[in-house]
Amino acid sequence: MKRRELLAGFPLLALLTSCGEDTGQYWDFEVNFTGRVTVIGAGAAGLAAGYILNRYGVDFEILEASSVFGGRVKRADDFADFPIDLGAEWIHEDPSVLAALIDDPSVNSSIDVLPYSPETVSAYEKGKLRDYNAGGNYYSEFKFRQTTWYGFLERHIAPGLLDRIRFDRPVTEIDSSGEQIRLLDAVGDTYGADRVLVTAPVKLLQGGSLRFVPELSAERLRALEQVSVPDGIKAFFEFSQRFYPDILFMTSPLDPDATGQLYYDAAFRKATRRNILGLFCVGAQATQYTDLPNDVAIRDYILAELDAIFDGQASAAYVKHVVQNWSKEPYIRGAYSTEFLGSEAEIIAALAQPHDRRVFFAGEALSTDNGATVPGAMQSAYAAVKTILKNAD
Amino acid sequence: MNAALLPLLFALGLSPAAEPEPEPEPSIALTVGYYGPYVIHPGVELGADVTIRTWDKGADRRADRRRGALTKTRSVFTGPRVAFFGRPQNHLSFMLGVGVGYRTFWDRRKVFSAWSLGASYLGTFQTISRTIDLSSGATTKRVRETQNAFLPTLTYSLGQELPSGLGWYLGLSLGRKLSFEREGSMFYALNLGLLVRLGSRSAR
Repeated sequence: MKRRELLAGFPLLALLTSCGEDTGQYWDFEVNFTGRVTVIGAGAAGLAAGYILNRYGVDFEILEASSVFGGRVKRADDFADFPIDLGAEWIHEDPSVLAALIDDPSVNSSIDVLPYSPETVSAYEKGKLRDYNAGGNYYSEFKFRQTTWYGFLERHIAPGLLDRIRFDRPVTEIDSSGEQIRLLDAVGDTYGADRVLVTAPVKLLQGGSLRFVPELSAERLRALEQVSVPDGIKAFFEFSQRFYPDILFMTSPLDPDATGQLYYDAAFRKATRRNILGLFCVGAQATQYTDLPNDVAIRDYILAELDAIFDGQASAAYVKHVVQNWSKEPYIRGAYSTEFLGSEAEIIAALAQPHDRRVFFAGEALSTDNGATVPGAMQSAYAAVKTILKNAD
Repeated sequence: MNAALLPLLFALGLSPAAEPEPEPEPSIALTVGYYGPYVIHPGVELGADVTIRTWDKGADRRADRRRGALTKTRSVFTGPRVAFFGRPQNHLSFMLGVGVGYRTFWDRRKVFSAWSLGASYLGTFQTISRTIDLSSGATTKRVRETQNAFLPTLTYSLGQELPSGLGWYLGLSLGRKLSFEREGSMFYALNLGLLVRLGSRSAR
């Protein structure tokens, strides 16, 4: 089951999550390109693009709209005594994919992962808490034990790229009508490139934050509109006492219309004694949180929700919280691709086509096999860079 | 009659006053088969059924009853069970227990059905961490912790047992995993296997 299907419903039946996209052999090809590549966005896809461009010694730079790299991969370092993923968290594939993404036999490093198989599973249905503990036997996932997705990128992908990333450069226009591609950012600076790889979130492209000259084709614009990127939020609460199960679905896990709205023990099998509860919500249900005016309002809303489920224990045991409202991030504006309004393969194929032969696209939404995941975003970037480098100027 | 069996016999709808037929020697069947907790976790089970009481009963069909044919045999059995199963990349489990049950055998078709109650110890070696070598993707170390549970189960089985003493069975077990360290959870398992009655006794 792909992650998009998982998040569209049947959370507990995601036991058979599988991976399929070939993550190797990105490096075994002849490079015929000798020009300059500009990558837009320093999220997982943008960093992956920089990683492979750097490996091949290609002239490149990364223009990042915000002041940090990572995109929807983000970390809270000091909230607990272990790092917390405020964005992408689960590995979603066999953890050997981590080695495939690095694809460097000389790397002398290892990483600890934990099988994420919750043992206490509950669902809050029609005002009642129901036990689905046996359902944990059908759920198969992996998480990082001591690090995070951000930590993985920071340690294994980003080194060597930091002096190539230009932060606070929100690109507003890509003009490929001339001999050299001209990029314009929000403060009026311009950049030249021979190829451009756009890894900005689909939501930004849908919102017209990037202007293309010549304009994007009608087919691509239609494909963009067919990608559903709903609201998304994560929040973490520390409590003085634990009163919650390993995972709590806010709808029946067997409901085919269920969406991704769940609370989970963020400290599950981590080396800690602290009680950290996470909220993960993507989809229509997320809007009830993301539309609230500020983090305090979101905190109060969540505590009230938990109090109703657990007889007031949440407020009584509350210590602190942190909220990551992805819908309000100016250069993100939502979660990730959860659904395609049409043939997924055709829509992705339309989006993955280069624009005006020299402007390429990559990101989580463009991965056919591992969509909506960090590995999928990185793999789509590797594939796009491979296409760029194989072809002569 | 063992006093400990009385509650069970009442629960199974038996009359303790029923007079058992003499059972000259114990009948023992060995079982081996697939044991699949939650259906999909693969495993293997070994067991033995020792028949401790047998009653011959009249036929279900009116015509057979008129002839006075005895075509149905009821028996009480007990025996040990051991099973090994697991979930790839997640855990390995070991189960050791005993069961006691009540079986009805239909002579004409050589088929049987049985209800049994089991009580087992369940030990699980849960993988809580894996170390991935980032140069190759190989798992270089697994850290496991042991979890212990008491597992009462109720099993319904169907099967066939030929006069040669060979047979097969298909069962579904329902129970509750009462963990010593964690919260309990529902347990169910699919059983499918072969049985061999020692000494090729008649299939009772």
